[in-house]
Amino acid sequence: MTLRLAPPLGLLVAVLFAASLLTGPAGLSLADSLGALLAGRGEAAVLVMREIRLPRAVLGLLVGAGLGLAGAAMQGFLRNPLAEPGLIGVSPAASLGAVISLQTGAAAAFALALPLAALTGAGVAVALALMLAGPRGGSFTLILAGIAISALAGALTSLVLNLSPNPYAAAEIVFWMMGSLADRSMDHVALAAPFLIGGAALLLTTGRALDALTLGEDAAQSMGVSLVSLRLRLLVGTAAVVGAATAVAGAVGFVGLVVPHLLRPAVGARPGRLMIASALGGAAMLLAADLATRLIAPERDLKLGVLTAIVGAPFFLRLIWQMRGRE
Amino acid sequence: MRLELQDLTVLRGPCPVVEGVTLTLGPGEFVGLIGPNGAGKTTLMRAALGLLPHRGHASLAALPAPARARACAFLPQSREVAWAISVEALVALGRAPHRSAAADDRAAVDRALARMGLDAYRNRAANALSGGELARVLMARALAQETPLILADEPAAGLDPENQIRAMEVFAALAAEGRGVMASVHDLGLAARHCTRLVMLSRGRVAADGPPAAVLTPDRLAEVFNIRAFHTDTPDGPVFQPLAVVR
Repeated sequence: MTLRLAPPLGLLVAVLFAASLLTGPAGLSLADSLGALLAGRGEAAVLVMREIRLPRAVLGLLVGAGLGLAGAAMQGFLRNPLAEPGLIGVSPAASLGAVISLQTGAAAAFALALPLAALTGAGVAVALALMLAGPRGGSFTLILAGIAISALAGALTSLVLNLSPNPYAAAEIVFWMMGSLADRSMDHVALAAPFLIGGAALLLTTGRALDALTLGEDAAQSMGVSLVSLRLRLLVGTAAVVGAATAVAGAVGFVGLVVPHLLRPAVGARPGRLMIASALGGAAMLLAADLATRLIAPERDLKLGVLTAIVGAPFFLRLIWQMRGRE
Repeated sequence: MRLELQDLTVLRGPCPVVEGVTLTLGPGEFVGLIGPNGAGKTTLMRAALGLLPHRGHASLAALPAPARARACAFLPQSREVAWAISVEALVALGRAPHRSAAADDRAAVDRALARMGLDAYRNRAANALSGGELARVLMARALAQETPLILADEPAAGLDPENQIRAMEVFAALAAEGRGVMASVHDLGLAARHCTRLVMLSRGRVAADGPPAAVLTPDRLAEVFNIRAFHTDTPDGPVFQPLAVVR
């Protein structure tokens, strides 16, 4: 079924990726854009295409795919359609790291200080979650550990805002937390891509184990699944993907929650297949949302995370409404 | 392939839940694991499979996970299916331990579906089935695993009489074909009729091990289960009916 779904989703992603490259305030023609991007024609156009639009489109693709994939993996692991990749506390912890770098001025002094601080936050969160839940701990302990870490990171973020020296610093932090792909450079791509791709590769190894987990932990183990190894791969993969996504794009919610939910019926509800479909779906959703921020109100700098939540939440409400009708 | 347990002990905190159990399960046997609630039936099976930390020797637990999955299929008591996957996809999960060709996997799934009478259910969503249908589907999954040994935790629980008898007959037939089957059973009437051998557990220890008629004696029923029962042989096979609580 993935075979039937993959070509249209892949095509959609390709179209949105191209649209993302060709959309922007510079008002370049199609020929100028492509000439600059591929052949290096026109000095200003090359700068716009290669330094501004390309990193933005690439990050939209990678971050969206990573969030969709991690969401599908986390839902499969916890056997819960309401799980999202940030559940284990990675995104709030990554946000905390970023906020501290903004507050201390490190982000202003050195461009990659913010994403590096966010990645550190994500690493600390996943190490803490693994330590709290223990090597044989069940998914329930893991969720509780995630809630505790999220609460702590959220409170510390509020504390930083609370103590921020002036309203401008506070505003900068608040705007960063809304999530955006604007003004990212190829340095951001170089920093995030290894984590996003490596994490995704690790998550993709869990497909068969997640399929078996459909029948519960005991049945999966009796079919040869090692829960300890599965959990480690899943947590480390999710932390790498979500940490890197938060580091370069800020807090972008709802992609990891809604996309797997939406595509599940199309892949026969099988967790392994859902991961690939959700990666494509997540990339499409994030590229479309990022395009929308540029098309709806180009002059107002609409934030990506705000848009995904505004589009995602009603959509989610509709799904819940349908679910209620079936029960 | 035999299941061998040697002096198996499982502790919960300082208390032994299963204590010093030694038994074997060989080809051709359908062993009914009986005992009151809390006697350690589920714990014994999970430890035998290496799903619980234990002391003593369990031949399956000593195997690496993929080899164990090819040696023994396990039907847990909870019939949970997290997602709306199709019956065919669910049964095919049993093929995961075998890195075999797709055609072989399909043939094994077809055999399992046919044996459980589920051909018409292939494309139904597994989480929208009745309890009896789901029990058959999950059993087909274990069959598709095509292992010499099968362990089942209360496979007949919550089923109507027809499905209970069908489940027991499938296990008895699998044993007759040369596999080793062990199932925990609460219905002593079903156990007496269908099992080739019974193992009676009491407070984590083996109280009796042998042919049904030798295990289900009035003394042991009173001591272990606190009941007395009507038990007789008829031309239609043994009939066992618990009657009353003693003491």
